[in-house]
Amino acid sequence: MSGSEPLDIILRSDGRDLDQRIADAAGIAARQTPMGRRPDRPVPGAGTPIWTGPARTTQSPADTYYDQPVVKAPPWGGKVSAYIVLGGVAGSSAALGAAAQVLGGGRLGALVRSSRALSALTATAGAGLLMADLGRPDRFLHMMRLVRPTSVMNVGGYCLSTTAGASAWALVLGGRCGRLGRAGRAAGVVAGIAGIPLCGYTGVLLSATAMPGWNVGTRTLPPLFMASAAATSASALRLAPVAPPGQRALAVLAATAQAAELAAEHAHERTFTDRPHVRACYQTSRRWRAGRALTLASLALGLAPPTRRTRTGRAAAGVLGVAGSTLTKTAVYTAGLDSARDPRAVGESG
Amino acid sequence: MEQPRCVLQILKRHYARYTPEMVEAVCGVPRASFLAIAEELIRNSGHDRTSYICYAVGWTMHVNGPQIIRSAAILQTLLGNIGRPGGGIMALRGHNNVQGTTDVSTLYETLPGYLAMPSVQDTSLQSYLDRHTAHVGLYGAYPQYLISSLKAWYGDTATAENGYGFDWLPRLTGDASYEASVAAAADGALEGLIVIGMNPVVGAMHGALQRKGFRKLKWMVVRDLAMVDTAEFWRHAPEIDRGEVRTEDIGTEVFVFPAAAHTEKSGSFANTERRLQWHERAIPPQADVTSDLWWIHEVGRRMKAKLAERDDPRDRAMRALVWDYATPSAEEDPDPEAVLREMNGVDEHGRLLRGSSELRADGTTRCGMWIYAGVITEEGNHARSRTPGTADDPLGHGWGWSWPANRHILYNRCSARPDGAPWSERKRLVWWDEASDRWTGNDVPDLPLHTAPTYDPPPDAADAMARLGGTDAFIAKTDGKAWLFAPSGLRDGPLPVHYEPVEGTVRNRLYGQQTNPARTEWRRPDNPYHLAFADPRFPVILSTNRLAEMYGAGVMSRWLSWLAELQPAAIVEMSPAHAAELGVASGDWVTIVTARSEVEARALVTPRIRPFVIDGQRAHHVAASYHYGRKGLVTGDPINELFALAGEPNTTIQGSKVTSVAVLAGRGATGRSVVTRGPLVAEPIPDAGVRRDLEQVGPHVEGPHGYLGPAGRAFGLEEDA
Amino acid sequence: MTKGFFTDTSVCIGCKACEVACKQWNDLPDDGSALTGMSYDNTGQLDASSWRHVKFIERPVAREGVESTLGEFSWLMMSDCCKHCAHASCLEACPTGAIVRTEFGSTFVQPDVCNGCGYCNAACPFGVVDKLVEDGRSWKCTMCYDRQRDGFEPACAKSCPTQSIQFGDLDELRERAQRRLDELHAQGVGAARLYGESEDAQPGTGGLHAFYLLLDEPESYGLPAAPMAWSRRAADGWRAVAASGVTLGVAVAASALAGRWMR
Repeated sequence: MSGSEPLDIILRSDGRDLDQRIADAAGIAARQTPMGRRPDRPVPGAGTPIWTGPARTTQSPADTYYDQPVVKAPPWGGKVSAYIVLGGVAGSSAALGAAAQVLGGGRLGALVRSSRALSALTATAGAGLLMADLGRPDRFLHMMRLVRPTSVMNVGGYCLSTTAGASAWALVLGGRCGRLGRAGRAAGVVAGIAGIPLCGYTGVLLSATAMPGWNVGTRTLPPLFMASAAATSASALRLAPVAPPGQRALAVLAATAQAAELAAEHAHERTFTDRPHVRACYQTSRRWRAGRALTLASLALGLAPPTRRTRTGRAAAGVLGVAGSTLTKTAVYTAGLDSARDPRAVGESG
Repeated sequence: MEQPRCVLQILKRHYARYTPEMVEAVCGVPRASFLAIAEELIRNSGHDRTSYICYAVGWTMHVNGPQIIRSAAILQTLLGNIGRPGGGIMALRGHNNVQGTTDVSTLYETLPGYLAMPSVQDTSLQSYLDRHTAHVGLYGAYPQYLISSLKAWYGDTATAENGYGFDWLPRLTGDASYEASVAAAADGALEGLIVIGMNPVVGAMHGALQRKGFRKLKWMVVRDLAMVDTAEFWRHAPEIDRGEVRTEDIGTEVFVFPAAAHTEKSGSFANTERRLQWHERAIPPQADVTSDLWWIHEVGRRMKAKLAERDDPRDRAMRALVWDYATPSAEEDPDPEAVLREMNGVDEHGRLLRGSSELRADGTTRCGMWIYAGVITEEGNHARSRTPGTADDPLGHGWGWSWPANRHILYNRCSARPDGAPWSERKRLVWWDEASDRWTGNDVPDLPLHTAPTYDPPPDAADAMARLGGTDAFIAKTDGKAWLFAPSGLRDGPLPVHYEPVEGTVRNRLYGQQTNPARTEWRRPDNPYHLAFADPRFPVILSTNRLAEMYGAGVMSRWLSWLAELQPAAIVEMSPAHAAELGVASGDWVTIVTARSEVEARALVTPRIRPFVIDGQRAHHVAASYHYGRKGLVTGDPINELFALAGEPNTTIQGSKVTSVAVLAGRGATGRSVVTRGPLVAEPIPDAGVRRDLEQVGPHVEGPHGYLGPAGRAFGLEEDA
Repeated sequence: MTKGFFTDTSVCIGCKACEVACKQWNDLPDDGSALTGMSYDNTGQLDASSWRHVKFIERPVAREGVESTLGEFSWLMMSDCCKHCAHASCLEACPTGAIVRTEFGSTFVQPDVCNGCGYCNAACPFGVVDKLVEDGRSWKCTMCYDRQRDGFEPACAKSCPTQSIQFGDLDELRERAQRRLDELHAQGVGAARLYGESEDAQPGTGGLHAFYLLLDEPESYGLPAAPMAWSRRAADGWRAVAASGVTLGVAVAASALAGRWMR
């Protein structure tokens, strides 16, 4: 086929069939980059007869529109899932670091340094992941065009940037003497304060959406995420070179956080006892079950006398703890995305 | 009205067997529903209420299509719905200018303005005029119309001595419709074909036979917006994909001209209301794109130049042809308003005519199209008018211009009583004004302005229009009356009757004659027919339809992304019961088979389609649109490939609405055709009881290329029109 | 002056002129050609490149108030679009301020500000806003903001041949809709109902600036029965964060002290 055939030209065009040499595309979507030729876009409903089943006597014979989704899942992938974990770690470790710095009486220096490092590292990595996930990464600073309290993502963005900056500053300068040192340590406190909403806001972020698997948990996801974040931080820090006083602090925090996490998971499950379609998204999730199991195991290892005193035992508890809390958070994330596909689940939310 | 031989009594006897029970038995429409609709129609007809009957190609694409429409005409006449606001019959044309194309006549049987094309039996102008001129009514001025046309075309060369060039016009020898041309081409009898804005391998029947004919042409010209399927028959066709035909062996020289779209050319549209609206182009055509006006004008110009030196009497028409439209330059379009002026007509002084009553038969007037006379006057081009309708002018006479004479409702004398007063205030349209001694009202009156309602034409009335009485509203009829019984004008019968399609599934319950006896068939091995009904090989009814998202044979929709994505695949709709029998779900492929061809499509299972229960027998029904072809952004097999050539007696319209088919699950050998492979299916076992024609009835006249039909169509022996 | 759409689905004929007019006016690209099998709806959903979506419902129930030979069957049609909610979840959730409320009361995504975070996609209770991966931004119906600025009605309303889509002052449309509803009820169409016609009727969204007259339950049309501006749940969530935050603060403090006081 020669290149000048009209069909060829259309096939090379952008789905608008406009000859841009003579037609001025001035519509608002003129510069929208099209999705390209997709002759076999996934076809929901094909293969399913349009109408099946006996006629009903009620006026409403169908409770869905061809089983099609009613809401849209956010277009997020693994990056956001990873961020939810990393951001939580960043915030809770910053809080721990600040508390250790202020209340540690000078005995928790290694813990303070490790916490700051973990916070700075995860906050920066998390911010990088979020930026990369944006459709227009070069426009990431648009997040700071304004302060919009109604937008959880907007507020969270400020928490993240504050924590990231303050933690980094504290890490670099906190150990020094003089004014720089004081500034660094003040930054550490700022990071700690900002870190608290940072490790919980993702629960608000998810629950303030139309995803039935998430908005069922307006009151349960924030506590769950915060407890999970604290558990992940504490577990991770147990693998760091920290002196015994620091280890004690971590043991207390881990046990508290993990107990709270398990309680929050239970509370979250209770929110959908009478919502079978939402429940199905969690019940079928292996991650949800595995996360709980691993967190429980980590808690046990961390409390049981034989294991809690040994390095190996504490390390094992740490690894299991990180794994368990991570699985729990990502299970919630995936369950919400799955719930978007079920129109009947939407019918249950309210 | 009691006299047993009067038309009303004949009508009653003729339709006595068309009872509601018969409607239910034959059509499957429940008796109660039929009666409800009938009563609704009657209740809404009368002095104060009128009703429209609107139809589209569901009525026309049958071998008795015109008779179906005529039955609506009879009904509306009896109900008093003709010539009144909100009444009448409206053809829902498929395109905003197809009315225009029939007005200027792209139909082979008519000259512009629906004048008759001469046939071989018209040995002179006078014999032609004797045949067509009416004694009474509008067509009493046939000489004025025709001679003014001849003067417009041939100018000064046309004189009374040479019959105004009448002998230069071509003559019909018989059926020159597209179907007849297809059969002729398939036998190599055609040299060339010019296809303008049509994609017949998709839109017309039996695409494989058409392609066989194209392969035997010496040359083909295609003008269209894209490389339509027809233009690509020589390299994109199922028989070529299967290796049955090789492109190298095809000798046809194909010329493709990219054609301007409506945005790139100026002119008028004429819609179903006969309303002309002028339209300005938005941009000039780019690159090699040309408008049809430019192209035809250029072809004419070059032909005249080539023939100017020759002396062959055969070329006299071209040499005499007046071809002097104002053209700014060789590349630009001729002035389309110059063409409109020629259609409108001028008198001997070059003054634009104001109406067809100004036409003369003495060669002093020139008018290319008598029905458009008055569209463009000294005041301007009325097709450009854009004054919306108002409460005082609800018909909107100020918007565009309706032919003839900006009259919006034909035969509008019917809207007044015999005494000239309106039938009702609510439905008044035109009425007699005693004070000013003329007809007046909300439309241009459709009879002479000063003909009183009580006028009784004297024996020595001056002309054909003066022979119309004051109540003769139907001025185009030779007696001024509406015809319930039509003794002439149609080739197939004075009264409509129910006939089954050429290929159906049930016996005609009303008559022993199964289908239209005056139809045309083409008896050839590459055009095999099914049994008339109950063909065990083809038990399913296929009906064809249009989709809102697609248009015609597809060039204006299948190549356009925004439309293509709305209906991206050729679908065939079937009932859940049928789908269950086949084991098919929505989206699955199915194959549809006739003796001519196989096509495949995707199934769409829907309860909107239900099996027909006719005469107690159940037949599955599938419905498919005819828009798809193998080229374009979205493609599909052309459904019309399934149909055989078969023609209606008056127009040779294709009977492509319904046929009998077989439906199979899965994909078959798409595009396989009897044309290149020989018989696709086994011959049926003949059953003497299954026949299309009664013994003593039928199309017995044979013509070239397998033609079998009424005598008049084959050899030009026209019945009196 | 708040403008809006009243879409009367009882007269929709499923011609899709609205879909095509919208695409043409806004220079939207096509979004693939796939046969869905969902009656005549091959568009499938509202998305970044389809801002009007005509739905077709074939249902085994007769249509009220109409005599037909179809028996226990009817075919409903509806032109779906962005609802332009009074309490717009997408707007409130947008972190960059790309989504704004125009002077006509519609919600509008500014394509030069949107950075494609996709949060609005999840916030919308009707699944309207959609991020286009290839393009990187989220898009939705603008209620033809550019046309309104020049005093024209949106392209879909202009092209609708049956006046199913009506555009005008929201107050006047609401009155018109109520009259139409009463008319249908008088004709025996008891199933006719309005959807999102006021804040009282749909408190979760505060009422829709593009509201509907439906002939069946919203779920049959793929609409949520009780939509709400989910962004407003954030207040509850933040309160939970605050409460948990206090607990977390106590926990880390206790942990630090436990470490400090360790012997």
